[in-house]
Amino acid sequence: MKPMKIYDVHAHLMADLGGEPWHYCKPHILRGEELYGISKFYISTIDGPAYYPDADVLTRCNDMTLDFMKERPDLVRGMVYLNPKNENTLDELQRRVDEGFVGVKLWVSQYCDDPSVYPLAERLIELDMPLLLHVFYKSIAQFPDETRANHVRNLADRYPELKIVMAHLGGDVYHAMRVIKDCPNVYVDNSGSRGGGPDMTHAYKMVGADRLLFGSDSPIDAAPALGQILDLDIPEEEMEKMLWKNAHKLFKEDLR
Amino acid sequence: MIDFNCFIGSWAFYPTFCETVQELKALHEKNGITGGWVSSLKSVTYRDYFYSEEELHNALEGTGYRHVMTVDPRFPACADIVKYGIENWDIVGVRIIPGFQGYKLTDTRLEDLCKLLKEHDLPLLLTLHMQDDRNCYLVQNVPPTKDEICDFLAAHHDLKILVCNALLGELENIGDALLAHPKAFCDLSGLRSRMGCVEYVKPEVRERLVFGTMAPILGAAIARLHLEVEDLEPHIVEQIKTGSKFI
Repeated sequence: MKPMKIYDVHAHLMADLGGEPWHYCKPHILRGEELYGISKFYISTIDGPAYYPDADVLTRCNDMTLDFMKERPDLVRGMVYLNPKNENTLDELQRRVDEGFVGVKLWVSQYCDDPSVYPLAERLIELDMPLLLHVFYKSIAQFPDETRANHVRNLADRYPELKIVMAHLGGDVYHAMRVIKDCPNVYVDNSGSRGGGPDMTHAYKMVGADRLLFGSDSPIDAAPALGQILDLDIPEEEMEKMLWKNAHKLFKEDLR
Repeated sequence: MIDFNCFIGSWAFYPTFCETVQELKALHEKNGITGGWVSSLKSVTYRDYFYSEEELHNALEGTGYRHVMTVDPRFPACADIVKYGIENWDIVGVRIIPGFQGYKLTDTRLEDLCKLLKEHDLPLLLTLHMQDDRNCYLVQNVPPTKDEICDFLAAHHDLKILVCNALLGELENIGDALLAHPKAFCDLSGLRSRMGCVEYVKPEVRERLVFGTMAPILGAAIARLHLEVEDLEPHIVEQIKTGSKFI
C-alpha cells in the first residue's frame, strides 16, 4: 500500500464485548496503526449491551478511553461517550474536556433530535467540538431510538453552528446523503459498512470531498472503509481530505 | 491477480456506477487485477436468466474475462441453460445464491445441478451474501447456516466449490468442513470483522483462500489491501492471487 497519512475518526474500545475483556479491542487499534499506518484514532469506549448507559457505566467507559489516551498520546484522541438523558451529562463532558477529550460520541440512547440533546449541542457549540452520531437505517434489527438521517437533519437545522459527524454513511448512503446534502455542518464517516463498492462514489457525488471522513469502526478491519476511498476515481488531494485533512481541521489538530 | 468473484450489469436495488465490463476492468486495473470470473447481476433477479446470461456472454467476448453463469436451480430450464452455456459460451463455473433467492441447500433441484456440474468438472460458486444484509429491500437474504453449509460440503466431495462472500465468523464455522473437502475454497471478499482479518484465518484454512472482491457490490481494493498489508506467508499470497490451487 502506498504510504499515506490516515486519521481514523471512528474507532472503539469495548467495555463489555459479550464477555470478552475491554482490552481485547486495544490490539486491533495498534494493529491498525502497524498495518495501515493510521496515525490518529478518535476513540470512544462503548458498552455493547448497555443501550441506555447510566452515569456509572459512562464513567467506566470514559476512564478506559482516558487510560489509552495517556498510554499513547501521539495516537489516541478521546471522544466522550455520553447519554444525554443522564443528569450529569454536562458535568461529565466538562470533566472529560479538562482531561483532553476532543469530541463527543452518542450511540443509541436516544434520537439525536430529542430535546434532551439540546443542552449538550449548545455546550458543544460553545466548546467548538464535534458531535459524532451513530446513524443507521436498517431493514432488519433497527435498534429502538436508533438515529436516522432525518433526525440528523433536524438537529443540524436547529443548530447550524454545531459540527456533526454522521457515522456509517448514515447506514443507507442513498437515503442519508440526500437528506443531509444541504446541511454544511454535517460531515459523514464511512465506518462500519461492509465496504459497499458504490457507497463512497455516491457520497462524493452528493456532498463532495470536504465533508467526508475515513472511519474504520475498529475493532472492525480498516480495509473496507479504506478500500472504498482508494477505489474512488478522484484527484489525490481530494482523497487526502477524506483520509486525514478534513479530520485534522475538524478536530483542530494544529492546536494540539 | 485474478478476481474470481465479480459482476457486471445493473443491480436491481441501487446504482453501482460500474455496470459494464470496461468499467469493471478499469476498477480492476487500478487494483492490479488482471483477470476476472464475471457474473451477471441481472441474473440474480431475472426469472428466466437466459437473456441476461446471453448479454453477459456478448459483453465478455474478446475481453479475456471468463463467464460464470448465475442460476436458480428451481427454474425449470436451469439444466438446459447451463448445458447451453457449456456448449456455446465456454462458462467456467456456475453461481448460486440460495439465501438471497430463497431456497435451501437441501433442495433436490440443486442436487440435479450439482450432478451436471460434476459431469462437466465445473465449480459451483456458493454465494452467501449479495449486498449488505442490513440494507436489503424486498428480498431479505437468509444465508445458509453453518450446519447446512457443512452438510452440503460433506455430501459433495466430488464437486469443486468456491464459497463466496463468507464473513470471517462464517469462514471460521465452516473451516473444518472446507479442509475435509478435497476441492472446497473460500474467497476473500467477506472478511472484515477484525483488524488484520486474514491473519485470523487458521493457517491451514488460508491454503483454501482465493482472491475475490464481489466488485462492484463491494469495493475492489478491500481484498487487495488484505494481501498487501497483512502478515501472510508469501506462498499463500501467491496462491490466493492466482487461484493456483483452485483452478
